[in-house]
Amino acid sequence: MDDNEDRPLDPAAALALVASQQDDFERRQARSVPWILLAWGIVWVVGFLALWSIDALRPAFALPAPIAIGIFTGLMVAGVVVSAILGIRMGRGFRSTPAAAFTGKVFGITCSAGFVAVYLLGAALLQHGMPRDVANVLFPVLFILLVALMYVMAGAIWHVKPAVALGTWIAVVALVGAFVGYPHLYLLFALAGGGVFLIGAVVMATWARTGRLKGLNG
Amino acid sequence: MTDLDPVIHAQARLRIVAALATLDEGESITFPRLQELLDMTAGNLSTHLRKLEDADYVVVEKAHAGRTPVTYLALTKRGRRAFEDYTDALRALLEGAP
Repeated sequence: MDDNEDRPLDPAAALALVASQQDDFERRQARSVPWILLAWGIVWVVGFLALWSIDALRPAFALPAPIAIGIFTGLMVAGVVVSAILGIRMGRGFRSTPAAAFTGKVFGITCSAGFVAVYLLGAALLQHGMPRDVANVLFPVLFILLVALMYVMAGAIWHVKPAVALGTWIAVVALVGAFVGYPHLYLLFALAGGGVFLIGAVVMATWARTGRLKGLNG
Repeated sequence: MTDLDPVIHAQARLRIVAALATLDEGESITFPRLQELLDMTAGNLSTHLRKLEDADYVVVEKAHAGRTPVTYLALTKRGRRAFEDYTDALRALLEGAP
C-alpha cells in the first residue's frame, strides 16, 4: 500500500482533489474528441472546396464533377468511419443504463434516417421538376441544417454546451449559404463550416491536454 | 469538528469515489478502463476498491463479454450518498473555518 495515497487531507485540499479528479476523469474520456473534429474539419474544407471547384473558377479551372463528387463522398465516408472508430474507443469500458442506451440508439438512427429522408425529399422534388440550380442549393443546405440540428440535439441530450454552439453556428452558415447560392455556398461551407471544426479541434486539444492531475500516479 | 468518513477521506479512495460519482446512476465502468482513466496501478486500485466494496460503497459485478470475464464497477446508492455527505461535510468545515 502506498502511504502517500493514504495520508489525510485537509478539507480544502480534499475538495480541490474532488474537483480536479472529476475534471481530469472527463478530460481523459474526451481525448479523441479533437481528432474527430480535425477529421470533420478536413472533410469539410477539402470536400466542399472540391465541389466548389466544379464551376466556381471557370474558365481558368474546372474540376470534373465526377472527380469532385467522388472526393466529397469518399471524405464523408472516411469522416463517418473515423468518428465511429474513435467514438467507440472513447466509450469503451462503460456500460450505460438501458435508458441511456435507448437515447443513444434513437439519436443514431434518427441521424442516419434523417440523411436518407433529406435525400428522398430532394429526389421527389426533382421528380416534380425542381430546377437544377435550386437543387444545387437545397441539397447541401438541407444536409447541413440536419447536421446542425443533430449537434444541437446532442449538446442538449448530453449537456455539451460547445456542441450547441457549434450546431447553431453551422445552422447559420447553412442558411447564409442558401442566400449565397451555387457555387459559392460551397466556398462558404468549406471556410466557415470546415474552419469552425478545425478551430474546435484546436480548442478541444488544448482543453484535453491542460490541467491534468500531476504527481498523483498510483 | 465533524468526523469525516474515513473510508472516503484518503487520497486514493477519494479519487476513485469522485471519479465513479461522475457516472450516471446505473452506469458502470470496467476495471481496466477505470485504472486507465485514474492512472493508478492495478494493485493499488484493487486494494482500495476492496475497502470500498467492504464498506458497501462500491459494487463489483463480474460479467462476461463472450468468453472473457469483465469486471464492472459502480458506486452503490450508499456509496453515492456517502460521497455527497462527505463533500457536504467538507464544505461545512470550510464555511465554519475563520
